[in-house]
Amino acid sequence: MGSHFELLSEQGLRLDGRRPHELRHIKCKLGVFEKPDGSAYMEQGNTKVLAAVYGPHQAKGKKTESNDVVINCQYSQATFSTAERKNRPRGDRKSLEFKMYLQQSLSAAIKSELYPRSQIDIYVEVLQADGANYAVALNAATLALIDAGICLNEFIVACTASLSKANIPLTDISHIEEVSGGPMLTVAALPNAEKIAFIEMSERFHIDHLETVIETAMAGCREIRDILEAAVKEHLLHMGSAADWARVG
Amino acid sequence: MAYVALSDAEKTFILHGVEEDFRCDGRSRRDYRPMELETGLVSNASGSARLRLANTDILVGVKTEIEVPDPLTPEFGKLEFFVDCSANATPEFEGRGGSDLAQELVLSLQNAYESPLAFDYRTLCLIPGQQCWKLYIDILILECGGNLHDAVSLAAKAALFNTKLPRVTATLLDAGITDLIISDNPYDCTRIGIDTVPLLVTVCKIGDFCLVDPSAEEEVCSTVSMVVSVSMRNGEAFLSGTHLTGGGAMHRDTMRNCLQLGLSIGEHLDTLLAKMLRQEQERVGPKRPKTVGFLK
Amino acid sequence: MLRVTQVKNSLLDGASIAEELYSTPQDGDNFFESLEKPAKEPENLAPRNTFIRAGVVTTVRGSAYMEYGNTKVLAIVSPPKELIRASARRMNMGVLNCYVNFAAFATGELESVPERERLLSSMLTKAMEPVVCRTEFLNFQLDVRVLILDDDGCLLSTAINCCGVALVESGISTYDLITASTACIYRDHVFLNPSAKMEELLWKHRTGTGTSTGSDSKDNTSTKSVQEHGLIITASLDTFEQIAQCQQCGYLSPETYMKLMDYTLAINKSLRQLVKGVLTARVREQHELDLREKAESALEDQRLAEVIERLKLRGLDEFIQSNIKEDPYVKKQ
Repeated sequence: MGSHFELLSEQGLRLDGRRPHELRHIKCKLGVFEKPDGSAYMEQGNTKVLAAVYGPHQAKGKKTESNDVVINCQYSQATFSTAERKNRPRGDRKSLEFKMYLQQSLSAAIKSELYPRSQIDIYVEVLQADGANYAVALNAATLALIDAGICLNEFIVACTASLSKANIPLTDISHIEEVSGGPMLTVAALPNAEKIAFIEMSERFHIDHLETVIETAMAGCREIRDILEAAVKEHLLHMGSAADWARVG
Repeated sequence: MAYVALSDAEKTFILHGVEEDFRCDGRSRRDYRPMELETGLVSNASGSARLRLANTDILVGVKTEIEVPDPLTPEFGKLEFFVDCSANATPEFEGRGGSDLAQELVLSLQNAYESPLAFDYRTLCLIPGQQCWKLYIDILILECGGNLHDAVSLAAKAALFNTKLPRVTATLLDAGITDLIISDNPYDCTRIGIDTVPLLVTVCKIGDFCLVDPSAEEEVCSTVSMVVSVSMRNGEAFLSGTHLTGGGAMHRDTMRNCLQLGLSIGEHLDTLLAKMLRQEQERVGPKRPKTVGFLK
Repeated sequence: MLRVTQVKNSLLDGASIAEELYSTPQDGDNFFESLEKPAKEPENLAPRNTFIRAGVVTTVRGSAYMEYGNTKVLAIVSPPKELIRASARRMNMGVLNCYVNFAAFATGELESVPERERLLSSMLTKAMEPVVCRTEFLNFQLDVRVLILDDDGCLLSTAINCCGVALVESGISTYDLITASTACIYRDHVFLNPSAKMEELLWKHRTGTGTSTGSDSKDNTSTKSVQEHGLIITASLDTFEQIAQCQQCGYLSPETYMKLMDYTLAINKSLRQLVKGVLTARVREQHELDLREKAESALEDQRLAEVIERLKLRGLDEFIQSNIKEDPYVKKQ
């Protein structure tokens, strides 16, 4: 399966003018809505995602047995988010897959032992899908969890990476690069602990390059983590400015 | 609507407030809560708008497709509404929980936009009898703070105003099958006239008085409310759809009062919205604000 | 005995069927011209020829059948049952669900049936909610099912009337008797109780409504008269003149709206007399049936007593005793 476009031009620029190791422009905001316990909005390039967290509250149904927290996620994409109109926002195979991936990644990040017999609901709504949908959704979910005040082991951040034809690794794949047929690797990691919570790959490339691509994605994760941390600190400064409790570390 | 639990004392408090024309947040019975409107947020859609009416947050995206028109109305385009209640608003909307509410909103909107005098379907026609535009108006409810009908109709109207239909030039191939060429230039587009597009106004009856823009708590206190769809044509207000909701009944005279109130408020809202949209349109170039959408 | 509506069925005429299969915008205009147009202000505010019968189905206790002109509707009310969807639970009221279904032969155009069923179901639920005492069946749900056997216009109002009668028949508490009717306006003519063809004209042939009479269609801003068109369905509870539901579609000025609503309210009043008559007749009939049943069972008891006497005289006491089974629910004398 050949690609339509060369992902990397001779000048070393990608299809949207970025260098191979450049992330797209990230903008984020915590505390967007009132009703959810925590909410966040994240933009990474043209991909826009809203996340809302309700909890911890009493677990519904038979799930009260467990001593660990029950993590309930929902991944939903607005019908106008993609270039072709999507008929059903959620409930299709892809959304259910992403829901499982979210649950898997977030259970690695949340300190489950602190919330026995409780349930935390995380709802992610993708307003505009332009590549790396799952990664941005996970990043938004992390911010929303922080806004809700839920104890995390660490920031959990996701980043995508790919390989151009000349075997140069690329960070943060946009939609047009995704559909051009190149391989795509998504990694969700805890950057400080250098642990990978979730990894997914599409297409194929030679195993010799696997390590470089993973390392590229991890580097991307670290960069995103720094950006998110700065955003959280700014949010705290803004929230605690009246009583001046925001100046920490 | 998302269910809010109220005690009898709270209900009595709200009732007394309404009687004195001084509601819980200080508004009179005719006042709306502060509104924020923004258009053009979603670039994948042909038109979009976000409306924030105090706690109610609605995002609307309009997408366009080319289809064959209905044989009985060969000069008319098509319009389809879709409402999605996001789980962000309340955990009850997870999965298919919000489908009842969504269905109700879709039916209200379809009813209001049904008449060709309310929405001019002729502007959506490309080749009579062969090709026409079909607009998918997708409404995403992000937060429920009461008065969904109004907010949804306002956001839909703003999104329609923002919609850019690419200009089409057609070439006629043999055997009468036409081929359409759509202009690639993003600035070469036609707009939709929204002067007569209707707005829904919910008039709520609490105690003996009628009020507009009920908050979530006030909705719980009311016995019956009337949803009036108001369309302005040549400076006169017309009705393009009404129905009662809330599980109660009202007297004929009360209904007439509600209707009058709804019409006058609808007229007022219409002028206000037109002004806001004009302001939005002028915010280009150096006046463009830095923070946009949810980042504010 | 069921009285069958004696109305000439024009569809039996083979030639006219072919016409109705392919309708074009021109047909709409032709049909309208051929209609006998009523006066602008209709004096005779009466419903169509109505036939209502309560208690038609043997499986359910609450049922009603109504013929409104040619429109035939059957409604069934089942006793309240446990709430299935816990999410629909309300704090102090039960849940009412209405389901409308078309019979396969009810209407000519089958494509739009699912959508119409959905629309009618939601409108019917909204109309019936004010009339049912929902506080009586807390945490329960009440299902009302309506089957439309023949569509000749005024479906929603007929369904509402039918459901009202079925509710009373089933013994569910209601606040009042509910009656409903329809009025529409098209090209400045008011039609009360529009037929199916009229309704089809109103919705399908919408091209006719955009252009005003004779003047330039593009220059709409100068024409003072807007071609109003629309349909109003009003359901009312007449004891205190309450309106349970007033659904309007189309495009009307407020004055026209109030005028049409007043027409429908007047028709509702006369319909209410009819419904009252039907229900009292039904109660009387039930009473007579009860009396007859009692008389018959008394006769039966008497006959059995005679048989036992005769057997006793012949001295067959032990035989009788061994054959008479004791009623376990009756205390021993």
